[in-house]
Amino acid sequence: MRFPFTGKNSVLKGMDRPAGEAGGPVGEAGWPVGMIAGVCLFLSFFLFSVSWAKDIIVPTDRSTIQGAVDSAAPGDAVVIEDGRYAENVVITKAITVRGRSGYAGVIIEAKNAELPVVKVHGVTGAVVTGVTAKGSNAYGIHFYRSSGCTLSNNRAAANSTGIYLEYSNNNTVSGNVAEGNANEGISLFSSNNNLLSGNNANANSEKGITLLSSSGNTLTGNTADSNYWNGITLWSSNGNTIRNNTALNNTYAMVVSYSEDNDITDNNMMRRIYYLLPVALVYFAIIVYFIEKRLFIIFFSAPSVEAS
Amino acid sequence: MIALLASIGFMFAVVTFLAGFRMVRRADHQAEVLMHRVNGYCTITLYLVLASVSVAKNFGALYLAAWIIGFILHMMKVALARTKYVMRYGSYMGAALLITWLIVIFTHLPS
Repeated sequence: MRFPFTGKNSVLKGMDRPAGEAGGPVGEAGWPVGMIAGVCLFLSFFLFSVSWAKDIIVPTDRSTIQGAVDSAAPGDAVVIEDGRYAENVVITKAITVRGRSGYAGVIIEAKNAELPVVKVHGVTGAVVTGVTAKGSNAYGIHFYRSSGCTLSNNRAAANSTGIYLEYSNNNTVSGNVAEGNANEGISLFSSNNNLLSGNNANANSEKGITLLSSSGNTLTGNTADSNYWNGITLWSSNGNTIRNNTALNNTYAMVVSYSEDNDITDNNMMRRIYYLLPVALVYFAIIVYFIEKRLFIIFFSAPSVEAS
Repeated sequence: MIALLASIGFMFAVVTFLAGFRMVRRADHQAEVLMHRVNGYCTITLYLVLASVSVAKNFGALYLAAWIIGFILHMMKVALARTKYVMRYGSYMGAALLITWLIVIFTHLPS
């Protein structure tokens, strides 16, 4: 009588390997079982540890922006549909907050006017783009102790200060509009190595762009026109690069004080250019006068005119 | 927009003033008589258009009063120039109108 599990075709045949043969148990495809187990373990670890970035839509998924920000995990994006939102948003993780159609459609007004409309607090790598922040007696958008963040294509209007970076380094601030604020349009305080490019800080009641105790920043292609006092201000700020900026029609185009080693080149600056307007108009009018006189003589000429 | 229109108005006023100044010195200068009148009409028309637009945007008693005073100054200049005995003072009045236009420009410059 044959024992059922010890024949030639028995499933236990693999266990008949002689002692001392290299390698562990081998699967049917010839892979070591240990390797397969390792790959499975790695994949399961990878799938459970990595959370896939997702979009949270406001107001579809969450009714408020702050609610969406709170429920977002790092790497997620909060996408805001067009509309007006009365909130004070605080971002404390590396997420993206994005207005669906840009700042013209997404308007966030300060619910509590004494707080910033949007505050990025202690974050590395957050992105804020395409929103309008208005109506705060503090700041429109406030970066506090944040680094490596991006602030692009936003509008900050009718605040005390439009965009304020405080103790924040290595951030990118580009393509923003900071206008009609009661104090400064864009202000940096103790913030180093930031890039400010292509921003408009126009028609603010005090100053356009201000750097206070901030070093190593690069300002390029910004516009600071028609501010009541200074277009661009550097105070106790060293080693900044300020190139290809425009500062027209301010009381003072640029004021640099207690600051050293700044590279200030190729900027377009002029104080109150409109004061020159009547002079130019008078010259232009004299040219028009002579042209017009010639035309009148041609079309309505009288003999006495020709004689003269 | 208003500043731009005011700038054009100021130019019209300057051309009118130059033509008028020459016209007074050389009364036989027909082209300048015509120029002075045409440019003068254009200036006053532009002033009225500007006043309408400006008052429609920012209505206020003082605002309206300022525009009316400016218009009265324009009319006074026309009346003065057409009065035989005080015609010589027309150029002073014309110069005053240039100042009026400068005020219009500077009060409407973008802030």
